[in-house]
Amino acid sequence: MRYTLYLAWLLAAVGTLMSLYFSAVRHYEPCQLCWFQRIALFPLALILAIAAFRGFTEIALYTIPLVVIGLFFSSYQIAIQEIPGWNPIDLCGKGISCSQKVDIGLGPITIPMLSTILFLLIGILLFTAWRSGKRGKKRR
Amino acid sequence: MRKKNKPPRLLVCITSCLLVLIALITWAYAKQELPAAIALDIKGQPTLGYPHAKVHIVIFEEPKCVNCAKFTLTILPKIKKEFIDTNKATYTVIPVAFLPGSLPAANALLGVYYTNPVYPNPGLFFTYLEYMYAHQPDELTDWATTETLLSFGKNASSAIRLNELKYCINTQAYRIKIMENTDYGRRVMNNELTTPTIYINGIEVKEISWEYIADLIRKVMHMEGVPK
Repeated sequence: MRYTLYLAWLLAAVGTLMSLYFSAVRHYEPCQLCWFQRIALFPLALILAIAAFRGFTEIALYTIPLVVIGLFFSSYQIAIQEIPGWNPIDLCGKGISCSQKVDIGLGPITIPMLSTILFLLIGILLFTAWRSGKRGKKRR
Repeated sequence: MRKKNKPPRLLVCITSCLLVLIALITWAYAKQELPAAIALDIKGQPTLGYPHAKVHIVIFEEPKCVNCAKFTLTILPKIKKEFIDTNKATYTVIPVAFLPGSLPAANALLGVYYTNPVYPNPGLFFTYLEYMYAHQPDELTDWATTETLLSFGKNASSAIRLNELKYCINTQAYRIKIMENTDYGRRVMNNELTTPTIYINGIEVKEISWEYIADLIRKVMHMEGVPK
């Protein structure tokens, strides 16, 4: 339990670096939905670093909304990529297409799929950290 | 018990330093300059894509070359979908012939391209080339006979005029053009003509893989200021 916050931060930091790698090094232009996911992910890399350093498990209450937002946009992007023609709310605008799959060299795995797995794992770890923190408080 | 709940501060600090270091190294590596480009003359060669695109992909291909077939059948469709059909890049083939018995096949390719000499047909050329690569017999056999080339033409597209193709094959109408292309390839590659050799805006592709080529195209697009 000691490392749950640390692992959540590590995932957020690695996700942030990967996202920057795809845009700055490999020159993939982020679409609108990718930006929404980035807005949810980037602060996590900073906030969770401080929380992991201080062992502040209650940070989960403040950061889980960001995880939920990221999860919503990444799942929505998977849906519009996997179901042809399905796009009930046009969240993408006129810029880069959100439904076009980008080959990142991992076979059928796309960037929004990685993003969903990442947010899901961060969410589970934060929830675990929050529960263990609560239990620790009760014991005291 | 107390130690159990103590936050792993040292670990957080070490990991932060490591991540910053990885980010800086990657950044520095990515900022490296692109290799030097050479000027290529592609006038009159079969070309696909939007003529005013800022990225030009040029490939030297040999009809009997197995790796050219592999490239055309596996990587080219991805390049076509992502860069050519979206008007970001053009794709030019310079057909050459240096393997034993491949000259008739290269000649037939240009014969199809110049079905109408005033209006060369790149679409038909690429259809025929793709069919030839998809049904390419073993490199060591002498398969480029008039019969095989005509049957490829017949099966590839009904738009190929077989009588004209037969005449072109028999008279070796584009033999000189193919020999000029081959000499040009040798000059460009300092007498070491190999196929497939790909250039993106004159920069030689060092590794024939989709990832490498797509990355190089994106870098060139970035340099040329092409919106992605």
